Amino acid sequence: MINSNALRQGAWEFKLSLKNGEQFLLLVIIPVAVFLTLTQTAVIGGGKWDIAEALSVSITVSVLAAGFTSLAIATAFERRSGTLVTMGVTPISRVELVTGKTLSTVYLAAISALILGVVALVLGWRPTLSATLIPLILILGIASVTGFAFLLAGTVRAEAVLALANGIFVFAMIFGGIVFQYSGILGTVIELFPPAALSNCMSHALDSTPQDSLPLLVSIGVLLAWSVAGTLASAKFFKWR
Amino acid sequence: MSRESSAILAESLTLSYGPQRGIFDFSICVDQGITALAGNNGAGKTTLLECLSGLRSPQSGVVRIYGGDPQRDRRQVTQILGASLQDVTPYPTAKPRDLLKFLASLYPHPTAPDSLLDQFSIPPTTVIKTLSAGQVQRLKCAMALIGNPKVVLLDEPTAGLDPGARSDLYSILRGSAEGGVVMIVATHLTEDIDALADRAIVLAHGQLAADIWKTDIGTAEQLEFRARRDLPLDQLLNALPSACSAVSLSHDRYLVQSSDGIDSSIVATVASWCAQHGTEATEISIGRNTLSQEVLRNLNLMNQEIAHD
Repeated sequence: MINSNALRQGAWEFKLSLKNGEQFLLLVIIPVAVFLTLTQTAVIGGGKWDIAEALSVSITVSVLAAGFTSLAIATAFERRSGTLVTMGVTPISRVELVTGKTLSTVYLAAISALILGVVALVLGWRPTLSATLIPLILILGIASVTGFAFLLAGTVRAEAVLALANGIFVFAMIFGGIVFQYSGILGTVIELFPPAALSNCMSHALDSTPQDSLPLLVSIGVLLAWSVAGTLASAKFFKWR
Repeated sequence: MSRESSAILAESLTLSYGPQRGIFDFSICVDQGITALAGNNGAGKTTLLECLSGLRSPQSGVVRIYGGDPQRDRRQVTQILGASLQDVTPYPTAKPRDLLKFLASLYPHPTAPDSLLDQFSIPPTTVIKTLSAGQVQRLKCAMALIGNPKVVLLDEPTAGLDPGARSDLYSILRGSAEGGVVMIVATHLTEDIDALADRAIVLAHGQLAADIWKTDIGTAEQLEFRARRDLPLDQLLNALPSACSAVSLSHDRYLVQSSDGIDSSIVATVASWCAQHGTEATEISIGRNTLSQEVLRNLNLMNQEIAHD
């Protein structure tokens, strides 16, 4: 429910995030570093990557960093400090609080994507009409993982969330079908999870050559399914203290 | 005013975590002033405040804040309710002024953040996690008052405050109460009770053990002293004039009350009786009966009953 309270909460969370050095590292430095490594070196894949392909990977990384890792850690520590309970006696409802946090995540990922887009333009990337799908895919990608970020933050101790959220992020980077592609059954299974599905959608939006739209629709379906599952699981199991 | 539209109403409230934990069949109605909520650790004070503020759902019973259910009518109730909780540090990476400005934006008629920062002497631009415990405590009280509430619930608001800050807080809270704000303040400190409260509710094992009004406690003169633990007060009573009564406030604190006043002969009797029992009466003070002494007397009676059981 996006109402005035959720928008205020989102703006407040966004302001707090901008002042946090770790967030800046996760949302700007790491994605830009990934982008430059892929496009300017032959460290991964034996050669320099196509700019659009590298941009798709980097935006996917920033969405996962903002929508999952960063959100889970921040929420877990707010739970530990009693911030969430404190907000429970203000006019902000729980739904508005969660919506506000998700909105802040969308703003952060959008900024990260914009910065990456500017770097890509400087390096010679020329967007096509399909790039207009990026905002929609970005929101869908965030929705597919925020539920699980809240689930982790609302059920596990803050220190464990710090370790788990970072561990899952690194695991997704390596085995999530974002940077490295896998074939066979393993590849098919990986594509049923949000990182690969999001990466596929981003590739589709950024690729200038015409593509079959069925894989895009399948990936969108995967992201929608995970969005619903994550929201339901966090609504059921999240503990506010 | 009907009970249903009272400022704070709890009827037959039960929320249990186990046989001796939680609150059980608790009822109270508060319509004005400041009410102190006293009780031993684990008596259920925090649980009660969390039920009244809508943070916890009671298993049975009714809670109303000016007629609204804190959970069902949350939007309406949170507009007129302010609360400060124990053991929380809100938004540790934020700055007090920014946090109060954000919170003020959520209420229809907020208090100006800068005036609260001034009143509570909170550094406006210091990151919250670097504030002292006392400053965080004051910030939490300011957060409770930011929405210009009609009802305020405070859990141990003076914990960690130095005497000066405590005295300032008393003035601010009394000022709010005189302006019509109805408050419940959970506290362990007798000083808080006497400085703030018009009424005290004593909780024991989640149940109402005593409901004491300042106006009802009388003005008998009394002598309070400290001596060896667990002295036999019935023997002291035999030595004192008939207008006197004697009770223990805690294991080593005692109170002698007299409707005829406390004179030097009573002081001498107490001192010699203590000497006969191999102890010395210290920290002797003479004054009028206070709300906190009535609370302590009730707590001590309760503890004795528990010990007998």
